[in-house]
Amino acid sequence: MRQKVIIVMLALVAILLARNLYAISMLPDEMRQGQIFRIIYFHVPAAAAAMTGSAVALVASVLFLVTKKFQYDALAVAVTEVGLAFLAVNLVTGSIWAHVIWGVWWAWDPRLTSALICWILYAGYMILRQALEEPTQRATFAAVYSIFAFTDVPIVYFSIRWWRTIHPQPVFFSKEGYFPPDWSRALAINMVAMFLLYAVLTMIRLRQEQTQREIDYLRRTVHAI
Amino acid sequence: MHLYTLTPVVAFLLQADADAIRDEIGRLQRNFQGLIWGFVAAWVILAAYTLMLTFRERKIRREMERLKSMVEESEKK
Amino acid sequence: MRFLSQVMVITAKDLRAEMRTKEAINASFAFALVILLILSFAFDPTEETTREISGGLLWIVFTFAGTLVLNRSFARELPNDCLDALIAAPVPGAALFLGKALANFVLILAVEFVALPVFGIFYNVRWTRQFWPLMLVLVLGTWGLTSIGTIFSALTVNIRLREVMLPLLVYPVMIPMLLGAMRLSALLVAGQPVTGDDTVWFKLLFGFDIIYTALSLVLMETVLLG
Repeated sequence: MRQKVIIVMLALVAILLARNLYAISMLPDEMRQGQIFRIIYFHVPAAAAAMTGSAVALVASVLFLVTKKFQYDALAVAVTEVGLAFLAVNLVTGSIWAHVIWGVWWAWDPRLTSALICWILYAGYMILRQALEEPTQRATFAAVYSIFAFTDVPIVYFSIRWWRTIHPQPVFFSKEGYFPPDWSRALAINMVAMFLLYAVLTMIRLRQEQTQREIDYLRRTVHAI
Repeated sequence: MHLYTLTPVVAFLLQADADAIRDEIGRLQRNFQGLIWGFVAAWVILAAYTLMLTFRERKIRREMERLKSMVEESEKK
Repeated sequence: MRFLSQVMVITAKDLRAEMRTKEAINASFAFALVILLILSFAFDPTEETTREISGGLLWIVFTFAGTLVLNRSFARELPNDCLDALIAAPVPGAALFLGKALANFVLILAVEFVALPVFGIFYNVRWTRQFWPLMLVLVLGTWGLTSIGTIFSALTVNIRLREVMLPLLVYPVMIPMLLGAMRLSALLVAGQPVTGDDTVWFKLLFGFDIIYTALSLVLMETVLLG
């Protein structure tokens, strides 16, 4: 049953993205920034999906600490790992965008900088998990760390935004203003597609995590015999 | 005679315009290239991660098979 | 009241243990001075622009030197199963956290009070012009560092690469607090009062400290038993 759900969702993602690619190419050019502006269709949804992922990881971690059920720990890992990939997409596309518009590979604007810090927080989570071998301890400590880290995400975002407004820097683009309605719809569709992709990858990773736990259990049984 | 003096002026003006056009074409090309690279990067990263997942899946499955056969063997004994 | 007396016992124990050997605090002093020295090579102290940003550099020194103290905090309990004894003691995890955090706070603050005059000498800044606001920033920032550092020290005490993992985990979480502390210190060390927009950083530091102290108090028990 799970397999079928995954396949259906993948198909949905493929359809949505193909349709969107067509729609994006047909849209008129954005006046000031030109073609590169279309990168927003990946840049923003990837960030939105990753941030939602961090919220899910926070909830999953709290639930694990409360219920001690390992499926919550598996969910936290899966969501964070996929979030790492999606944030990487956000950072790389943002960097390319900055290079085309301003000629610099990195612009210290609030959103990109927050995304970078979030990426480092996620990476810290994965490194901590690798350093701990005993499964219960690993799950518990990872959950504690993720509570600290993901509570930090909104704080990081606001503090860097204050930092950047007090020391003004070039702003990437203003979402308000000239965002025509057909652009918004294309963006919304791509958002849905990215979120679906995120969910699919998370489910695959989740299943792998559960299989890994079964393997560990089997291994212990075999060695016990 | 007037045409003679005018022509270099016209030629000069056209030349200036051609430069601006060339710049604009360069900018558009760079812009478009940037877009393509951006899309490529996004898809490459997602594909790389999906590949990582598939490799891990295969490794896990192999491990599972191995362990299952070990359990069966020891049960037969 | 029992809670407070338990906290005081643990703080006194940690401080006494540290004062007898002075391992961590000496290493921390020395480390702070070395970093100040190296920073003065990287950023020329005689330039006017450097003096303007020097308050920010202070926090690099404080963070790195503080990590040494924080690492020792739980590492000290490893030999002779002292950590197990602490966990088995009828002391709530929150009291243990608060006791150790207070001890670390005192130690790191001591290092900072030594580093500050040296910094003033190296960078030729009179940092005493906005003394009390600067002290407030120091206290708030150091408490943020200490609260997160103490609970992560407990988290990483049994991990192989403990000395590397602790900074790696603590620094990113601390970034908002560092932002505020650096910005305020840069202003105050240069003698300018904190006005208008910049007062938001004080609120950030307060909020940050409260949130993370609360989280640490709640989660310490889990970490100790994990």
